[in-house]
Amino acid sequence: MLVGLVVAAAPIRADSANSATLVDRIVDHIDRLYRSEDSHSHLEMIISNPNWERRLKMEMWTRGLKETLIRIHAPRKDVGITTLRKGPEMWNFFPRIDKVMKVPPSMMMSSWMGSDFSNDDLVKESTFTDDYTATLESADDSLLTLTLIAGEHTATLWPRISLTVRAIDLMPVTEIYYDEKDRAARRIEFEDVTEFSGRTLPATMAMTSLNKPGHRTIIRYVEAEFDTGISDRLFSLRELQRR
Amino acid sequence: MLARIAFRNVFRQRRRSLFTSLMMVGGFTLSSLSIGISDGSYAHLIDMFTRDQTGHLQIHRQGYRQQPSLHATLTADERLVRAIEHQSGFAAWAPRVYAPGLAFLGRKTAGARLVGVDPVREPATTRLKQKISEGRFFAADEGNSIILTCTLAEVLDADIGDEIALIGQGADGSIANDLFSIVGIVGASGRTRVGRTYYLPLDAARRFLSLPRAHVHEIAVVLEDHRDADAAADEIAQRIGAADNLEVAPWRMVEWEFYRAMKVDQEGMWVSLLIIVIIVAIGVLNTVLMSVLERTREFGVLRAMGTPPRALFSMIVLETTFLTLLSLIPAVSLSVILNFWLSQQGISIPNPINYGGVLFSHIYSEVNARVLWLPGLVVLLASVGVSLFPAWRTARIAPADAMRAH
Repeated sequence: MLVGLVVAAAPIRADSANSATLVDRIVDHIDRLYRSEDSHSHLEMIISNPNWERRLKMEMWTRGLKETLIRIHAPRKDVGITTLRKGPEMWNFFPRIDKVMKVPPSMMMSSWMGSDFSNDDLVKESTFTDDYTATLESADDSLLTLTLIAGEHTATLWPRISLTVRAIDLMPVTEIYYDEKDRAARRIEFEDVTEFSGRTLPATMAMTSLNKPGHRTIIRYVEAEFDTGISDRLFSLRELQRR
Repeated sequence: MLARIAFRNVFRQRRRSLFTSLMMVGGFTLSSLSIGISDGSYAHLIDMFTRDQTGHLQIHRQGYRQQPSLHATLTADERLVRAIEHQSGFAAWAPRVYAPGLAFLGRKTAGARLVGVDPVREPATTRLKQKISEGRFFAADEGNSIILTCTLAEVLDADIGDEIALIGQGADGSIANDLFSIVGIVGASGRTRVGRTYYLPLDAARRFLSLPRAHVHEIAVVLEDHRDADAAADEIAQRIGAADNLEVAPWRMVEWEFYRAMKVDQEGMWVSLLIIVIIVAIGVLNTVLMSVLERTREFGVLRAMGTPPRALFSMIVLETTFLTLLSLIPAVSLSVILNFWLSQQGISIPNPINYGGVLFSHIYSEVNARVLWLPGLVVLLASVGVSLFPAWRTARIAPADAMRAH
């Protein structure tokens, strides 16, 4: 969900088609919203919890669903720390000690750089369309709420997701993730719908942990450009270690 | 009058009194030494143990000992330092930070405990500096240097001067990572049990872990005498007050497992002490019994001359009491001298004993109140108690029979 890009979707009017088609269109729209052929963006991440607050500035490149490279530019002591994701695998590079560390499968649920996003969130290749069954929960003039239920064969931490979008342009407003005991575990709020090089998407995503009071991570897109044709050499262990 | 006769009797048969007295002195000294050595070795053990790492008492944020957390820090501010340093019997204190971490050297990796120590305060508090077997300890303004325990050095195949890459969890959620060069190795392999620990200079450790200045996880305090630890912990806790949510724990609470094992051990020691004391009591009993029985004829004469049985009984008991009290004078002096000498010199053990990770090469004695009153009581009770029966028998004896006895 961190990844990606907007495919500009034409505004869909809520009363247009029948409900089943509408639901499919919304889910497809959300799936594509932050994804693209490739993307290059500058992001800010603000992580806060009862013990500390930290602001990261980073640059991110993505290609398709499988490849992501994130390089940290601030704060100073973390400059150059780089994460590469290639398919299901993930590595971190620490320039100060000149070490590449593969993130083991057991660490996939751990936090990425202390944020409320897990390593798995970055690596995830699933889409709502393929892995969830969506039904329209409620609709009024301004908001539509969908319930997404994970398919039987989907390996996920979140069997149920509640998704609310704006009726006018289908921009996401909130996503609430429920755990295997159907407790609301985290909520993502989307704000600041902004146009980046012709694409419109919410520039701010605020993730609030509902089972860890006071834990919150905000991601803000500062700049973004899409489909510029990024070389696949970028997503390599060699590029990971470039200082 | 009776007392004077009894007193004079002690010196009448000098040689007999001397032998009885020697037995008492010997018995006293023997049990005094055993108690002294027992107490002394445990005092030495506790001292070695607490001076190794723990200190005599420790201050943490409430709950840290049960569940250590990187964020459960305390600040060694002026108020806290004053509360510690104003304690009577205070000797030194040292702040520390702790975190788990992963060390890399070449192709080797080892998970270990990171301890940030104050380059100046730590050597004054514990024997960490003396335990350096290779290289050196941190200088006062040390940068990114690291000291490893020998166990860890072995795992990593590390030598002085090598650069170690450390990775850990930063207090601000970041991934702590940095390079440190090895300046020292603690402990010699195969001798003492040293854990897998690496030591960093306190400031470098705080920088590495992104901990704010002056924040620490633990303050270890040593006193002049470890026996004051419980009282000092209470008093310091009172001066700090409840507001800061800090916990002051004496060493035996911090090292509860070790303390309990030592207590069990000490109880075992008491059994052997008891056996020594019984042997001493039997020896004294034997001598006193002989010296009374030897004089049956003499007592018979006294009875025949009209001495009342009660007076005779009292005289015998008093005699033994006087002799015992007189023997206690050289016994006490001898015991104090021997115990004191052993507390300074110690007895060297050919094969050093490893107890709780600390190596003991000498057994030390100790001079304390128990070393004197306990053997004194034993000798007095044994000798006086044992004189009661012959005294009672003699008092009832028919004079004619007694005078005929040999």
